Amino acid sequence: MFTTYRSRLMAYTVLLVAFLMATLGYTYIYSRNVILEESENSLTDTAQMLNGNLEMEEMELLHYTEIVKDDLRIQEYMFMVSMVGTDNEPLQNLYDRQFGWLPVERRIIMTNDGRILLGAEHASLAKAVQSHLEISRTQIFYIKGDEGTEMVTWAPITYQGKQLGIIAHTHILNSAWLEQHRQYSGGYLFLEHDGIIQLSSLPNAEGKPFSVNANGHAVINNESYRIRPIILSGPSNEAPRLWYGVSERKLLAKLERQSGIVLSLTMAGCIAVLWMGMMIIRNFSKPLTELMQITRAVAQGTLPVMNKSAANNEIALLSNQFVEMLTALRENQEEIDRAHKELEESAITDSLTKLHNRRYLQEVYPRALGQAQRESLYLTGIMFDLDHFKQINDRYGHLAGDECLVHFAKLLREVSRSNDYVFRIGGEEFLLVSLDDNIEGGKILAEKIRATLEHNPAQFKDTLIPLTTSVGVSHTDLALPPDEALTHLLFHADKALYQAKSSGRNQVRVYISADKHSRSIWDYVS
Amino acid sequence: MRGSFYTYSLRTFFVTVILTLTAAAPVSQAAIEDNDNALMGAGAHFAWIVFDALKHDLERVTGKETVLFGQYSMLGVGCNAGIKAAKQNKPGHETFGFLCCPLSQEEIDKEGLIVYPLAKEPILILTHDDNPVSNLTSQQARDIFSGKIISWKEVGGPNKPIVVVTRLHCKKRPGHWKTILPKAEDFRQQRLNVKSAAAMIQRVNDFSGAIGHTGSTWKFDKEDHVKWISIDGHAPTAENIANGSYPFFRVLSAVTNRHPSESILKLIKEAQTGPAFQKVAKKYNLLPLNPMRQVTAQK
Repeated sequence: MFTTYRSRLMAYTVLLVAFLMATLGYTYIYSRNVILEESENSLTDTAQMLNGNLEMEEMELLHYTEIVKDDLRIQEYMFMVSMVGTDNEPLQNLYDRQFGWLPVERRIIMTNDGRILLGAEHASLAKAVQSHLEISRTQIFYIKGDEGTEMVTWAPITYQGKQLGIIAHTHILNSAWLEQHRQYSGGYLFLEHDGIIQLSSLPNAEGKPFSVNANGHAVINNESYRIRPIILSGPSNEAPRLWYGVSERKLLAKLERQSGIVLSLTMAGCIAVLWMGMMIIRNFSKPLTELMQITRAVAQGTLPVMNKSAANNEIALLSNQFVEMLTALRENQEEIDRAHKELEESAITDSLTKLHNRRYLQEVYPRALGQAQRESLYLTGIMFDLDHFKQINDRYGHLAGDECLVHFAKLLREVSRSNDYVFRIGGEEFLLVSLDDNIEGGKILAEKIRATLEHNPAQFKDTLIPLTTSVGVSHTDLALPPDEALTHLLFHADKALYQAKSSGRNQVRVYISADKHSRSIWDYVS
Repeated sequence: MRGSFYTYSLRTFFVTVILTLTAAAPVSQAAIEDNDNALMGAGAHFAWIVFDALKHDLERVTGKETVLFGQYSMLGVGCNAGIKAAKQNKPGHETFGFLCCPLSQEEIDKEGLIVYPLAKEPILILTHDDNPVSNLTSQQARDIFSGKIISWKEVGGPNKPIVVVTRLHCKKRPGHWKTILPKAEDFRQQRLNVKSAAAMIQRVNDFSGAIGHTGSTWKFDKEDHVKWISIDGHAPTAENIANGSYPFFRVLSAVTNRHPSESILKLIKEAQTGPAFQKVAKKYNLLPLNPMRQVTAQK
């Protein structure tokens, strides 16, 4: 499946991305659990801390109450007030003088029968204490006050072994108290009574219903809170209850921040891995693929052009070496092509006159025939034979004869037109194939060549050698197949040439056939 | 709250330490031994007042420094400390004591003491100064202290319950508060029994219906709302004690062991008869119990 490096690299990249996402996903889930667990622990710890603080405050308030209870003068004065019937003022003055500094909210001293000796303005407190004493003897309890919940401590005052009454102190848990404890706890405190929030450090929560489910959650103002109870001493049937809560939204805010961080890291990691993958593919796979394509092209016989890379890495070096190999192959191929072309050229060219030979005539004639057929031209064959060439060889030598051949070939190339074909088809025989829209064009050209040669002798060294040629002209029967047409053309041109030779040389004879394409008689030009 | 609590605890600690040190000072053996060239005296506050007022004259007569302990009567040093100081007397460590109440012969014999009476001191019957009652008969006073009379209304005062405040110290010794009622059990059960003279004054201050008692040498503060009342129409003066018209008094004395030094005897004699003592007795309405030495004016 992953047979190529490219697919493997892509697979590795995908695996890496998946691993990264899995790692970060696991980290996120683990972090989430840790945060939630820590939040729960923190919530419990804070609730315990608040419980501890509250117990300390309870002990402190009870200690104040015990101090007053144990004071002999208080005992004596209460004795005087309660048993002798003096007015309360000495007791009040004594309390204010000796214990006025105590940091308590309300204080009462009352007799066993409920007569208030100190703090007559706190009749409700006296009543609450009496009610409490009817059901419990715990020295710390809580009552619902006007400004909040009040912590109450009481102690019996005895004198000479007889209980005279009680002293009670209160410490109020009001909004300020809640706020003070909220500040170092971080959450919110709720004083709830009968399912209604009486006081809270949470704004706009007072008077709202309050219910804690089995999971310790409560919904207040459409927001969920994790709730823990703060234990208040004493009977709990009548007293408000104190709760500590932390907004889940705030708890989860940390988690959301964590989530954002993890998501960002995941995105960044994926992008980085993908980028790295792309870079790897680009740096490794792409050059290899290009090399592979080029190799395939080379195998198919082509040698594509490649530019060298400026990079200095292993792939680039391999690629450059491949380019050098391609360049060498291309140069070799060009050399071979050039040699092949020269070989082909020599096969169809006369080495002395550089004119095409009869072989090339057979190759090119069909194309010329086709052109003449397509364009309705006359395809004319003009055959030349140098007059008395054997005598020239004998008289001036073969080299001079060769020079005469070269001279005539040059003359043919110069006088012929660009679309004419010139061949050396024998020792001193030449053939010019001409395409012309005029049937007389071939005869005129043949005469022009004959006349030019007559007036331009060849020169061998310092000797001018006069030359003449006999010319036979024939027109191709365009209706014939190429092979047959060429045979006919050469045959008829040769006949006309023979006629010119027979008629005294240095003249042009045109073969005219008796059918509809040729005249029935020889046409004499010169 | 916690700060206040700690402040209170700290205050309590320091007060305790100071009071403990102060209480220990009068009877400190080390303090006495460190002053072996001085005459050391210790005892009841009310006698201390007298000796302290005579201090310069006593030093002049004896030629020795006189060191006295007993200023703070509320600390419970009192007569017992005086007896203890007297018994500690020995050569090179001359000590004596002073008492605010007489000793029984039995105690004198048992402890090996010699008592030197100085003067009779009126026992003031105190009430709150808001109380319009300014005189009681001796019987009314005794009935009040015994609980037979429980409202001032019964003695012509306001309809207000009487708060009896007592300081029944030296219970085994005769005299003193026993001039009011002979036994502690005779006093009203529903009363305030304090440990010190200062507490006595404080209680009378606090209760407008209070009645209490203290010696005439007590130095009242200007801010005290306490007054003394006459008994049977007689003020608590030396003359009225002398003529028997004022019934409540006690005897201030000096006390030594059986072997007082000459300096100690000289000091006590000066305290008993010296001219300076006459001034002090007059100031505090004390009735001297010894013939006064006549002083010849020196040119």
